[in-house]
Amino acid sequence: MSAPADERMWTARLRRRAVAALPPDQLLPDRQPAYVNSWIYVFGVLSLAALLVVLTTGAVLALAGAQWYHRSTVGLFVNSLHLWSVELFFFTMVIHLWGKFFMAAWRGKRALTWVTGAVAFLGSVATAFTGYLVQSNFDSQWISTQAKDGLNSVGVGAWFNVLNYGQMLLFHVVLFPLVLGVLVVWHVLLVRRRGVVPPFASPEPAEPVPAPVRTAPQPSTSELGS
Amino acid sequence: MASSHIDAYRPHGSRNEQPGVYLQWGVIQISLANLVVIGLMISVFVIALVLPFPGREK
Repeated sequence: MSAPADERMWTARLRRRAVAALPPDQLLPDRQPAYVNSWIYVFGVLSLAALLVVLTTGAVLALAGAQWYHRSTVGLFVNSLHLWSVELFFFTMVIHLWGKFFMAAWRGKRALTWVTGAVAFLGSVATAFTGYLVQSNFDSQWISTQAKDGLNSVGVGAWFNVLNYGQMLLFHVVLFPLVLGVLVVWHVLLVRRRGVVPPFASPEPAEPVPAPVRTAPQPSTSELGS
Repeated sequence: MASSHIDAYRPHGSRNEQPGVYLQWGVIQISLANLVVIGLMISVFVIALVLPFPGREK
């Protein structure tokens, strides 16, 4: 048992606040509510899996450099993996978004979960956009010149220049991934803290551990939509 | 609306290799590739709602 003086230290206070805000049994639960037993609930984690491939291949591309990923066969392969994992990321993330929208997933004090997800989606669009700008081909030239006019027309052209390759490359590999990473981690922590939103007909599960999957009643899939 | 029929055409010089196929319906224009992806997403969404999850009946 620690001395009272230790309990007043900032480390102890921070630890108590962290454990209270994010209880370990909620961060990594052993069981999920029965209503999670549906395919519509897998698209969030599929998005995370695709994002992990995006980040891993992106790190390899950054480490090896443009000469490697534009000229060698392995480099081109990793470059393609980076592109197609982004496509998969958006594919699964949009289905995740539709599912959560029709479930009104902001119910039950989950507004911040919804907002961080929505902002993370917009951040993903910005990150993908800068990725398309740094392909060093005619596509990126076309996209940047078209985007320049669009962005200037809404008055944000003073803050950055999409024709500036170096700026867009740094946005893509440092700034936006950092922002997106923070948003995604925050979003996932909120999902764990607040729990997965129940279908309209189901009651909120009792905290901290919901009913086991195999013994609880099974709602029909029609309760999930609209 | 300028035209009510769906019209496919190929723009020139916007891609490195093969130009994409675009569909146009009045002011709405979309590439065939994007339309296919959107169709696939809607299909997967509907399938995810109706397809039973493994172990659901236990």
